[in-house]
Amino acid sequence: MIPDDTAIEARAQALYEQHSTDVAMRTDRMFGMLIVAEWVVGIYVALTFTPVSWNGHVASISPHVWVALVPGSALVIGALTTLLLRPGTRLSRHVIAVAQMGFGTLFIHLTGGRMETHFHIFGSLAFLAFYRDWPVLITGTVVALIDNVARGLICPDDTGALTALTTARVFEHAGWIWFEDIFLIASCVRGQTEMRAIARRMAQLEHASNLEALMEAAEESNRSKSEFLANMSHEIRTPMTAIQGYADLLMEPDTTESDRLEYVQTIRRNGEHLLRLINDILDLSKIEAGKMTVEHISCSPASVLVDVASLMRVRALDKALQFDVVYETDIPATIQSDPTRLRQIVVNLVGNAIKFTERGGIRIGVRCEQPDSANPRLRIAVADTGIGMTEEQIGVLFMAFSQADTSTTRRFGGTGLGLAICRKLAGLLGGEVTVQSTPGQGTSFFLDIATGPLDGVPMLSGYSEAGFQVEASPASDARHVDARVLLAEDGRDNQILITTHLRKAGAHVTMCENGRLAVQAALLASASGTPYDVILMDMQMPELDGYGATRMLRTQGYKGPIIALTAHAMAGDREKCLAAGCDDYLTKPIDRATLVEAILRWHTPARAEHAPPNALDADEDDEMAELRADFALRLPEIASELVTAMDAGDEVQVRHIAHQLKGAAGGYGYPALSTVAHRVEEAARHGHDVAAAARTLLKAIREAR
Amino acid sequence: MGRSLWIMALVCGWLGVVGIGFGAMVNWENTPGEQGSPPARWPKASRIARTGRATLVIAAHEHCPCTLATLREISKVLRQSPDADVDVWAVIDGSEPSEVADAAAEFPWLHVLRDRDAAELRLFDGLTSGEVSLYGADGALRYHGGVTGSRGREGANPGAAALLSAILKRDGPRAAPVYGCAIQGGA
Repeated sequence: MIPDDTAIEARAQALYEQHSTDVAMRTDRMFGMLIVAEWVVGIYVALTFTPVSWNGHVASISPHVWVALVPGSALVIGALTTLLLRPGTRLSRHVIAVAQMGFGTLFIHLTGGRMETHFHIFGSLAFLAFYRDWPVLITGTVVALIDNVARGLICPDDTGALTALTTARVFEHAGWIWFEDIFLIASCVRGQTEMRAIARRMAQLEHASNLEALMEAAEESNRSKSEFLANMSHEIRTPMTAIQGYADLLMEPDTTESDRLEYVQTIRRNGEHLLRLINDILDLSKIEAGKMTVEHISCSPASVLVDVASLMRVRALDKALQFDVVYETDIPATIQSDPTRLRQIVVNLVGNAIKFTERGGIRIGVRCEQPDSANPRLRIAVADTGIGMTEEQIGVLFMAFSQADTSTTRRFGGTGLGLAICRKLAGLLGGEVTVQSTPGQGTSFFLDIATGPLDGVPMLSGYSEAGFQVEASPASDARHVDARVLLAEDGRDNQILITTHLRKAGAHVTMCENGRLAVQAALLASASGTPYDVILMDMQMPELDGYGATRMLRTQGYKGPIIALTAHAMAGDREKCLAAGCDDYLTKPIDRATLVEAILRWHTPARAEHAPPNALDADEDDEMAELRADFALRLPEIASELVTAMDAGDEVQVRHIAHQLKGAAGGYGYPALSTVAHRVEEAARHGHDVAAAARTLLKAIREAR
Repeated sequence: MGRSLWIMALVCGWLGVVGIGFGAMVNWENTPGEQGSPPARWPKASRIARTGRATLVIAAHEHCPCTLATLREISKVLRQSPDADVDVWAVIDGSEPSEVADAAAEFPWLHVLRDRDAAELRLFDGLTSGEVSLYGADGALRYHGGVTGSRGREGANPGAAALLSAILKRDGPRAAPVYGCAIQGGA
């Protein structure tokens, strides 16, 4: 039997049993009412026909009345009890059969064997056939026959049973009952057969219906996929066509210099769009395939927001938009989430806000909701004063390849996948993205994510827009990278491209062609006391790939930052690189801004020996620079005081130093130092591990100076 | 004791109660009444007038509900012997209006004698309602007993068959048990 048939048979059996139970319960209820009525009629008949028996002039209640009252009541009670406690069961119908036939017998006795009351026996058997369970008929028949035979056994002189004269009549009575039984049993068996056939037919229809539904679902899924592919093809083809077209134009011999520049810019712009689109599609595909994994690690939401603000502020300022970040409540110093995906969502929401806002500004509101509950949440609200949307536009906003309307793509660009990805990522982070909008007035997106338990997590207060202002940095493109970089890359084009990007940014680049050479170069530089500030490690190289090289360096005790370069953007790549010992992860093709941003993340000017903590603005006044220099000179002294306090176990002094440093460092342009000092103060205030926090602060001071 | 055994015990108990009750009823219905010893020849002291034909005397309790079945059975016997010359008398004790007297009035072939002082019943020694005595035209007792199968139960039975045989002067039993209320006794 094939699995489908097995399933149909199982379903048919279930339907048959359900139908049988329904029939039995319905018939139970019918007999319940009938038996109560018969009990009442029995008492009435007994009281009417034979209320008393006489012994001379002495009357006594007739045994008929007693039987109608006592065994009659027992019949009713038995039937109703099983009917109520075990309805639809074999027990209930056999008890009911006994009760029903018992009343038939009683009526015959009460009426002195009137012919009409014998019809009750035959009628009752027919009623019992409603159960479509032939053994019930046997039970009923046995009760009727017992009455017939019992009189002969109890009173052998009686004429009703075993005397020679009436034996034939006894068999005749029984014969008529069996005669009826034969037809009723045949009817029951046929009824069961038909019920089974109906159940099987219903199971087949259900199966066919399910198959149809599954087919429809599959077709719908296929249709959706086709639409998705059609959209995707269209979205990819459009920039590709532009790239090809402008590349053709470039090859024209009579192209002027200005046209050539315009063509190259167009090709570059379309290339960037294509890259974003492919990244988005990969993300969406990974999410929909369930392959997207998110981390739940301890991370600082403030750091993520500072990072986003530093990235997006420039774009907002380019459009002369106000850009505010407001902490509406205290927020946890750390939450359990995925900082990369959180950053991706917020960047997308803020990017949209900037894109669709021409006047006014962008406001990022941050608040922690229900921090003391079992399910605390972080809400990041991105509100703009842009064009806003109608209800209809909102309805399709989170659908892939859907923007508010088709003209939006032409006017504002974008892949139409960003919000779909945001919503799905938010779901993976245990939250959601919602939106409120008024056409012409603006839009607010709300990102709510789970923070994980906040027990023992310090709550940070006093963050403000000023914090962002201090930490906000110029666009990475314009940053100066004063670092020694070792580039391990075997591809000639990428060697030239990356080296050019880095040298233009001010970095000193040493290049090698495989992992083995990279290991040798890195260890040699470290041994000579001039280690590289950052290693850019291509993960696919001949001889020794990036994974092996990184593992070898870490095994040798190499501590410097290693940033992985890979052409893959599939799920798990990042984790694989980090597992090998890399500190960060970049995907090719390498964008200059991203590259610079990543290097600065691991080698900031603040850590450079001869640079201030933040890149100095060109117009910074000399007096301020002098004050900063003085503060920098005082840092060793502060470090010494901190060491003394730590050695003495003087937590009060440690807290005092941290408090002083928190205020001063922020003012002199050392926001990171200020943040670490704040943590020491908070740790002391909440009774956490002050020594560990102080050691972190000491390290930060030494790095800062 | 397991749940199934409890259920089985309850069902058995229930069947026992019902069975005992019904058994007691059947036993009561089928227990014959006491029969008297009527005189072998027609008693001259009887108030029933003889017409030169056979005479069937039915002893009846004025309230016994079982007696109606006796009258109906005799009615069937008479239908089966249309040529027989038989006078049928119901001797009903008491003189007050009663269910049995009312029912007897509905049988046109039946003569009713209300036996206020039960003298006639004593003469024929009728002890149980439904007890019949058939005397031939010659005054000899030909049948004595009941004509129903059990208390108040109609239908073919040896008593009615024996009475028919006696009326038709055929061979056969001349006695059968009688089922009904005791006419004499009690207070």
